[in-house]
Amino acid sequence: MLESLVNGLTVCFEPFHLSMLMLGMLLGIVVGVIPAIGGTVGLAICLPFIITVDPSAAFALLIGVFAVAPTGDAVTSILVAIPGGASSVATIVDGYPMARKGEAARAMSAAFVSSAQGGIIGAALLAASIPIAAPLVLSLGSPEFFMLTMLGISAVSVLSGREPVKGLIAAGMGLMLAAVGGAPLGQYFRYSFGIPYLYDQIPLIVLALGVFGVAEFIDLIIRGVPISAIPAMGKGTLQGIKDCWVHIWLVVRVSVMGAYIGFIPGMGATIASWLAYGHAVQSAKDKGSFGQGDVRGVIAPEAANNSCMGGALIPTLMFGVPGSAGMALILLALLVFGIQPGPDMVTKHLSLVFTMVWSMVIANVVGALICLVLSKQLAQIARVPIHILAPIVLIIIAMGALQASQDWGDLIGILALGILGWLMKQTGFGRPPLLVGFVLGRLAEMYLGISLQRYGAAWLLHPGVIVIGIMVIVTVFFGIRWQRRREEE
Amino acid sequence: MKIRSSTIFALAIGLVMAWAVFVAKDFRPFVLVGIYPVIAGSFTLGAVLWLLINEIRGAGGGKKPRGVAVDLVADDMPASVRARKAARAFGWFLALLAAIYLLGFKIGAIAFFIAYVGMETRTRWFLIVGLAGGVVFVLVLFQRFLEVFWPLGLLGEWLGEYCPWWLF
Repeated sequence: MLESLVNGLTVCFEPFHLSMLMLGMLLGIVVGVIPAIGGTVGLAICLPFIITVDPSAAFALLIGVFAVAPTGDAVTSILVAIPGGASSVATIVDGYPMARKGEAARAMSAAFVSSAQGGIIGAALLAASIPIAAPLVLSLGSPEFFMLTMLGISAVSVLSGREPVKGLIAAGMGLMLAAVGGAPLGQYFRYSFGIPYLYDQIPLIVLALGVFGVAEFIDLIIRGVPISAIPAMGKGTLQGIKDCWVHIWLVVRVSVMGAYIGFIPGMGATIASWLAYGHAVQSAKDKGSFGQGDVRGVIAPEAANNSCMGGALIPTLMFGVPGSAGMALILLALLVFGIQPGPDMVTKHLSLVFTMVWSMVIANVVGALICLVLSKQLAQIARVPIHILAPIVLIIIAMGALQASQDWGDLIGILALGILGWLMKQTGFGRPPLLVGFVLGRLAEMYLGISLQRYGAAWLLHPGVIVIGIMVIVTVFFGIRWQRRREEE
Repeated sequence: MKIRSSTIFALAIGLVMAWAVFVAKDFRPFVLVGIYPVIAGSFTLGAVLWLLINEIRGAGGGKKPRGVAVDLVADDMPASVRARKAARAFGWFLALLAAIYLLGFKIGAIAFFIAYVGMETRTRWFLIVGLAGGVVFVLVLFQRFLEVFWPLGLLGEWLGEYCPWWLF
């Protein structure tokens, strides 16, 4: 194993591999900074170009894109409250208020450095987990996986806004949107109204672009204000870097949490970032500043959403179980090269696995450095007048949506979901719970169906189910209580 | 009792969920296909009823919707003005889709950009043309190097084999 570890590092520094990694990083930063496009779309766009190159260089490009996109995501999340990707929504909660207080530079440097720290920790955990991952995942069954989806949904619902009930309603809407189309466990089309586009599930990209991208830019056009009211980034870059070391134990805890969440199929970086945020709040002695511009509210989700990739690669590489759309694309790339995930990855292709690990480390460090050095240039997007930027971004959003199914339904979908997202924003219904409910809805249904078929009602008595169920109840109860206390204050 | 927009929205969601649950009870086989939407829809319906009951009792009365920063609303703008501006903005987005359908993605997007910036801002025309040129450059890069998909539109389909790649 040590030999493979060293071989993997050696391959990383081959010129072609390094150049592909750099290209991936730059693409990742670009797709991360551009609102609502994100790493998954970046991956999908890159896939057609990697077939003819060497597998390790191909994965260097993909890892570069996917590992660094969450770092670039933070730019628009902090500056203009528009998520660069679904995993950076949690960063908005404290990042945007920090920017409005004139601490944009501090927030961004904290985000970049914590992203790098999280990415490194995630990669290290991936490497350490390789020999022990298999028995751990195999110990969880469909009932436990179902309860984990419920835990993720409940955490986001009660933590993402001031009114937990509205968060729960939004999550329920997401769960029901996930029911549209062909049922995963039966030959039945639900809520399709005979429309062929709706026979398949509503694409996640269409939902994310519509509910967040279109809705947000429409609202900015309506308000007619500059995309950012902040005239300058302000000082504080060094302070942001120091913050990541002052709160290093928080970074370590949430990075481990993020990697573990990523390890669980279906949880992903979105859930990891929200749970990390929740942990930062719950573990803090002084909770009052969260939501008002607390740097810990930036550090925690950013570290977790980068470390998540390390954990997510474990079930993808070891068991062929992708936990997210991005991991599904990684898996597709493996199969294109004739590489079977599973035991072969820890025997025949162990060097490739370690190449991917080292690529993640290098990509996270260099990507963060690039973002730190170019943060002012990246921030320039915030100075462009909204009536110039909005049509450009709407065009890019339309182009991104079309890559989902290459169907006119994608464009109609982002319009309809854009209207829904805008209405939700106006009426105080949080949109993050809707996204999370949608992402986890299909998985939850699959796990529920399998659990009922295999165990009947007895699955409710499994110890893991009971433990996670208690965690769900505790999360909802204390989340609502915390929100009520905030209201009273 | 003043009816707030959030109440109307919640009521609409409740009606949709009630319909969805009513339809789902007939999905077959129920355990594989119907139980999930029934449970999810019922849960959502319950949350809506909880919200509506609280609002009727006045527990939520007078509270402005205060979500995370991404969901902050411009509550200094009258609702009628906001609705009118929203209709106009969504109308522009619909115009983009119509332009793409008629002219193809590239020409439609450029036409939309020029029309929007020209009509909604006071930008000088030479700047608009310059910016449009920049948008064309980016689209050509995407098309040439990333081979993204976009529709030809009615115009492109009509031109058929005479359709130049750099224009569509």
